[in-house]
Amino acid sequence: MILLILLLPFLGAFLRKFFPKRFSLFIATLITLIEILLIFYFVQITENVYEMKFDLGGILFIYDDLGIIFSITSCFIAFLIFLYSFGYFKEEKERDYFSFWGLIFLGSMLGVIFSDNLISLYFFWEIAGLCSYRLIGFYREKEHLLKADKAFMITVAGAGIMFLSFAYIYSITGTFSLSEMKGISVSPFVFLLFFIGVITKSATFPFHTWLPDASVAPTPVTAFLHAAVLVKIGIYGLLRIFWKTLTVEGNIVWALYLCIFSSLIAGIVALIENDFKKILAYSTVSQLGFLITGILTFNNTGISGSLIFYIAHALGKGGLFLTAGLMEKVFKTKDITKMGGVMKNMPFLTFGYLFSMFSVIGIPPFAGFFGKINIIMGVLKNHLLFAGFFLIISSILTLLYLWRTFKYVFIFENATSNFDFNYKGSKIMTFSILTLGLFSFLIGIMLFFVKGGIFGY
Amino acid sequence: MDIKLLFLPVFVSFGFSFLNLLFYGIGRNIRKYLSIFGSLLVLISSIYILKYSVALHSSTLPNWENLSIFFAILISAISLFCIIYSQWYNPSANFVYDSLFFLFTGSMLGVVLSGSLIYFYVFWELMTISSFFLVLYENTEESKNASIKYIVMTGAGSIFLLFGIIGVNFIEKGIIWKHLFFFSIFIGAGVKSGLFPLYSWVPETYPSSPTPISAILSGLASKMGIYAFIKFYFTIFQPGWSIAWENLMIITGMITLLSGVLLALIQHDIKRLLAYHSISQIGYIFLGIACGTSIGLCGGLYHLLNHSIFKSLLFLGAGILIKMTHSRELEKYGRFSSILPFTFYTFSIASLSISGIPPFNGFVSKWIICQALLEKKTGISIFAMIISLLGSALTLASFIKVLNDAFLGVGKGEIKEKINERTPLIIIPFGFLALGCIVFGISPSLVINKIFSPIIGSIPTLNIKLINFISFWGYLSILVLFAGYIYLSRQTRKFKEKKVFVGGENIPKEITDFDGSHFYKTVYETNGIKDFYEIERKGLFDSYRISEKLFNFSSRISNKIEIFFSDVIYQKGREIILFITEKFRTFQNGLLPRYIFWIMAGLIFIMEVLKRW
Repeated sequence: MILLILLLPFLGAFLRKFFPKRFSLFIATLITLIEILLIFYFVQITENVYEMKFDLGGILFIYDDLGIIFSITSCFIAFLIFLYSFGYFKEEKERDYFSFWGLIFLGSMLGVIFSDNLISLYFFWEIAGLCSYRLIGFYREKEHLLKADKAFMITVAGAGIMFLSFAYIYSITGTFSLSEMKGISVSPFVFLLFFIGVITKSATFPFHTWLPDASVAPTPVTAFLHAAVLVKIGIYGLLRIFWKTLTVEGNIVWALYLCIFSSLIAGIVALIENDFKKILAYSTVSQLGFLITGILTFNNTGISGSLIFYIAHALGKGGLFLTAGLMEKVFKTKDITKMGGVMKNMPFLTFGYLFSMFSVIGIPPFAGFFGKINIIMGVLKNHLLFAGFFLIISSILTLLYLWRTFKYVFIFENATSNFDFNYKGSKIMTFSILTLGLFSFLIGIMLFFVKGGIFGY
Repeated sequence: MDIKLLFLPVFVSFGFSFLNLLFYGIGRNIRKYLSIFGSLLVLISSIYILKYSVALHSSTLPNWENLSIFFAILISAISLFCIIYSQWYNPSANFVYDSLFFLFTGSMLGVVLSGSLIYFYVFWELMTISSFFLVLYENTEESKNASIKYIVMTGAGSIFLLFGIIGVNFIEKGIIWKHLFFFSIFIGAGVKSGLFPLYSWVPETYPSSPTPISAILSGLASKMGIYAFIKFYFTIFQPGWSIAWENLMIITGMITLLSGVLLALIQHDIKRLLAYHSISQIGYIFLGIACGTSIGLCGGLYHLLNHSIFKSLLFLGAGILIKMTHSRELEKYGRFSSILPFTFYTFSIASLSISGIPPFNGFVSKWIICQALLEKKTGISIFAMIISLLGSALTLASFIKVLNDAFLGVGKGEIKEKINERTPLIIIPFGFLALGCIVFGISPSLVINKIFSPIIGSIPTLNIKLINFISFWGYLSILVLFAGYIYLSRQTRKFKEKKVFVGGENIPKEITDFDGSHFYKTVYETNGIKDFYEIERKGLFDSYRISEKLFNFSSRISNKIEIFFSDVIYQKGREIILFITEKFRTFQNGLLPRYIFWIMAGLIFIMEVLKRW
């Protein structure tokens, strides 16, 4: 029965064939909604069971607390993105493709989450790469296809190196099953092999350049890549294999410093970029560096900070990207210096954007703040003072470039030409942006009042 | 102590903020009373929590509960006056303004009343965000630029402060840790209060925000940085934990003081001038606190209280002039003392207070700060004391210019809008604030015993007799002043003009008469000081612009690094793979014999392998 959560996106993607094309997006939205309800239902009925195992043709799947966090976030964001694309793809015929590949994308993410087996994890990991290839080159123009090539080649090469580490793990443990190899320690070399796979997928320096280039895709796709699915797979893999299952014997501080360096350099580059979506893409690279740093501390505070920040970043970055898409439709350009005056004309959108922005910057009581503070405390707990200080610098950079976008797009007014702010379908788009913003606020408030906001102390 | 009840003023403030949002449709007249009533209720609840003040338990440290309540009453009183005034100044303000105003006040109250650091930080950020929207409220080109500068600088500062807050748990891990955390707190508090290299948002933000908001920003919000600094410096880092930092703090205070007042001297824009004076007075407060002794803390807090009073009065007075002439330039003012006598008197009281003239409050606090600096007995602190005296004199010079240009003077101001200053909306705030200037000046022993002793404890070295003597002198001088008022009130209404003869020749008025601001050109042209102004004009003190340049430069470099790595990893990898596949192409040239050869070779290889296995 619980397999339904895993299979539903795939089923839905092919079910779409039996209906007229104009219903396809509607079906996708409906399926993500059912998915959310199903997950809630299963969490309800299996209250005290933290691990559910089930079989599918001899392959074991597992569903535990980590999986619940990741699957519910991904499905929720995917639901809002599908809702948003009703407005975005209003005049385009390709919405059919989008709903198909989007559902497969979500399904592959769920597959990675459910896998108890390194082989099936690798399988779904590559399916996600395939979907990203098709979706980045969405309009099939030559330039777009080159960029899709780049994304695909880098992630697949990384996954290939990661597969070497799986082989290595197999040679040590003699099994591919994750639940059987629990507690075994491996050398830093194996970790390095796996880590290359993670940082290619999660776009960390020096393998991050495909992510800013991928911003040529339509906005719901980029939101999928950044917020819901693709880059989060790497984080999930790292958490699943090196936090839940294996331990590393040896010093891996270099990986932490690499992530911090990535976070800083992407933040600095975002300061001079003018393309709205590229700024946000560099911001994602920067925040992912932050996030992986938190995981690599491997203590309670850092990991819980990373989990909170994962949710906050998914919600916040989703909101920011969806706003960028709406702006693209309104102003017919991606250059932020040519936009302006949105604050006056679209107050609700402004609220949604601001809330998402505050969450990503880390302003209390929004969710991102509790993530960031826990990550920094986790880093300091490991006696890494300057790493913590660099993370502070990284969040200052976040503040600088996000307020820069806010300044150009929302506050300043562009007197040169008149814009039509009543873009058809902007209502449903604004609704999903505002929902994302409100959720990052609500989760922050919940953490603040229920748990006190600081974990592991 | 009941933590919930201590938050009562905060709850009341947020409640009224929410009420203003809820009843957004009600008319301006009702909202006027709602806002004033709400602010009054906040003040009453702040006074009500006085009963949670505790008896002194330590003689060296500041008593946190009492300090919080002191700040809470100060904040709610000043914001009450500002909101009364703002009903007159900004009568067409909509519900967003009032709602944000209460949010701003409430978050400041939250900052001072919160016991845990995480609450403190939440309210701190709320204060920054709500004041950002208030600065932006008028939505002019100037306020847009200023508000972005404000939010970026204070936002970065508060992230530094966050690092200091996190560091509280890790302070004992090593001496470098302690220094780095102290540095973060210093930056965080310094940006908010406007210390020397970090003040560059101040002269942009105060002029371009609505006047009651500038009064609050200068009078209250900048004090929050000082509060945060006291809170961290006196509890977590004990005063005197590092001599180097102490000296650095005194030097910073000194430079802040002097640069603020020197830049104020050459300003033509009245609000900008007041903003620079605000920086300079923060320098005084910081000097007092940097001493780390109880007398220094007493002087700092006393000056903080006084500065809130007279600086908000000065800003509100400037608001009247701005509203009357629709201009902030001092040259456009002149001879307003006959039209605005009440404003003139209160404004001059505030000017004399800020310059530290004896019967008024500024004198007492500056006296205590100077004494604290003298007691430090280090070379730097004595030098700082001398500088602070110089700063006082320059402040007086600057305010004589303002009084001369705006209220007396030769030029005649152009009146664009008729102002009736005899409304309770002006008389109540101005009257109370001016009264505060006098009362806190003539009864220092009472103030120290009633307000500061419960906070700081006994101040052994403070010569209260001497101050009492001065306050007695102050009572006397008040009498003289009262007589002077009766005299002046007749005189200031008429302006006499005398003709000027040189060698029997009648010289026209344009040549002989000068504005005050013209007169201060000599200050600009003085050797030594001129270099300072030149450096300032080039923007070398503007930390915002410098860091902007720095970031732009580093982002260009990072872009290069990024492109380089992208080339090496992706493009080169691609080329290598293509090169290898090119080579492999020679194996398959389309001729059958070669394929057969490869098949045979493969078979032999496989068999060889199987045989050996």
